[in-house]
Amino acid sequence: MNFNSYSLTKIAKEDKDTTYDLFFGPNHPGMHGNFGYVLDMVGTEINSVRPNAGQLHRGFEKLMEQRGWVQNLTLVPRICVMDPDPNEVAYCMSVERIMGVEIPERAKYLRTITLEMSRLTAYLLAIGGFGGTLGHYTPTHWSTADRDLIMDMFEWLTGGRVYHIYNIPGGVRSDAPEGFFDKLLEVMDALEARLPDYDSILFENPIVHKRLKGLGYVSKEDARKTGLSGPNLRASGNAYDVRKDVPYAAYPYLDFEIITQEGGDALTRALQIRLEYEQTINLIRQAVKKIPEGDVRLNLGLLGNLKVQAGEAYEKVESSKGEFGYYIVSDGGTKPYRVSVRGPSLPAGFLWAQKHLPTMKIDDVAAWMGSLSICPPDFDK
Amino acid sequence: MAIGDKSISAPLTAIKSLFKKPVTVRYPDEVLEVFPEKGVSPRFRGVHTNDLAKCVGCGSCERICPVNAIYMELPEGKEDVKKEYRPVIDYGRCCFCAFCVDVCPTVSLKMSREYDFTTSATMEMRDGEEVKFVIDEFMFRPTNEREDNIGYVTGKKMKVLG
Ligand code: SF4
Ligand code: SF4
Repeated sequence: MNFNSYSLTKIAKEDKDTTYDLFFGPNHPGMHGNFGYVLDMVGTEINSVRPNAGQLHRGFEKLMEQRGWVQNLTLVPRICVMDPDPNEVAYCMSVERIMGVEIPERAKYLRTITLEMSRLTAYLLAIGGFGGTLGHYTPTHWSTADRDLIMDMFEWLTGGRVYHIYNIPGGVRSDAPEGFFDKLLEVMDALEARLPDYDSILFENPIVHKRLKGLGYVSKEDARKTGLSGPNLRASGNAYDVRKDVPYAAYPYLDFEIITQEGGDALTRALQIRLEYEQTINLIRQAVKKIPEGDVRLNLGLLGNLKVQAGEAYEKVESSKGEFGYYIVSDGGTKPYRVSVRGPSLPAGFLWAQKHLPTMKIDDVAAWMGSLSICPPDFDK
Repeated sequence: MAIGDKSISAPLTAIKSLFKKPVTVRYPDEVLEVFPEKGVSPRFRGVHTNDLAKCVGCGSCERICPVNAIYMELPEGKEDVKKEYRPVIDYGRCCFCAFCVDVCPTVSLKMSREYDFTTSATMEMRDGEEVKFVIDEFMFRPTNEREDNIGYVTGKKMKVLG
């Protein structure tokens, strides 16, 4: 269609010619990275959709083959910006599995605590995302401010705010500073005290309920078949959580139940995040209470020249978006032979997009994406 | 736990935050109650500092740097032997991972709590001249001028080497 001869008003007036391509993304604020959908529109309704990937292709997996085992740790957190720690931990766990080493208990607890803190930051962003994509910006502002509290704790523990680079093969890089855990518990109390506020403006808001109810329904069977994981899977009634089913770090020592809900729509997924947020606060409190004294790292020799014996391993970690897995092959050298990353967003971002979006109005697309926590870097790596 | 929908006026409880203190503070006067010292955390990974007298020019930092941000260069007026070379860091590349600090065998390389990278780029444009940006300010040899504001250090106990 030639826009020089056709003004948009004219197109709208001549009813027969109302289909057009709408580029949703690659720089849409509801999108957590450069990824887009090309929507074939009829008026305000979507006819069909083409996922438009490739603009975030930074070649993580290939880059990892060219850097040392430890150097790669600066790269892996970038695969999921909002929730970076599961990547570090999954990568380190795979390397440790190939090397056949067991990390000290205290390191396991520190990993658990950072994983859960990272989950909180991601959930707070998700809460903000729900607000923002529905045009309700108050929760977005609130959650950004609350997230800053955890960022400060990360800054104190690791020295970095967004990318912590805290885990290394053999444990964690440094012990917690004095007074850290007390302050962390205070922060947890503060965050828990905020929950009623979020409930009243977002999770119990009748308008939010109206907007999200029935949006993007995924049945229990389909969720399992298409490989959804994490809160998305549990919001469809499947009781699966890597932390419980294939326990790692300090999760075997912590007491928690898998939260599931029946429903499978965007509203259920929003409430799922709300419920797991509370569970995460509880897990951090337990871990802080139980953390033992001791070393935080095994001495694996020279960091820069770390050699990993030939072998392969796959380890997975439950992130705020689902299951993150790292399959690593070593040929015995100072660099990985192959690293393959399994990200949680692929089934939702590609499969479910083509199924769900064509039934939707354009205003719901961003809310739908937020509800499935689609994070483009992890399928566009 | 069930979270049901409430009355339409429930979201209006947000109005109470109008009477709270603002969360944001004016940069750079940030006073954080989280940290014992004012400002950023005591373990912050900021601009490097290097005790040039202690550094032995071993080049471990150069080798570990994942983004090749470190160049070993000879300071002016020094004899051209390996132990006189000192690291120069390109902050356009550095990702502040602090691996170089972790591997430094003499603990001379540390990171400070300074993070402010804004410089006034001198941009000159007169008639017929090309625009010039000063980019060298991002690439310099860390010295101990920030020694009084140390952030991330890898103490002897946590040494990664040996
Ligand atoms: S902090 Fe990391 S990226 Fe920066 S110079 Fe040191 S090793 Fe290189
Ligand atoms: S690792 Fe330390 S001692 Fe060696 S060159 Fe770098 S700063 Fe100097």
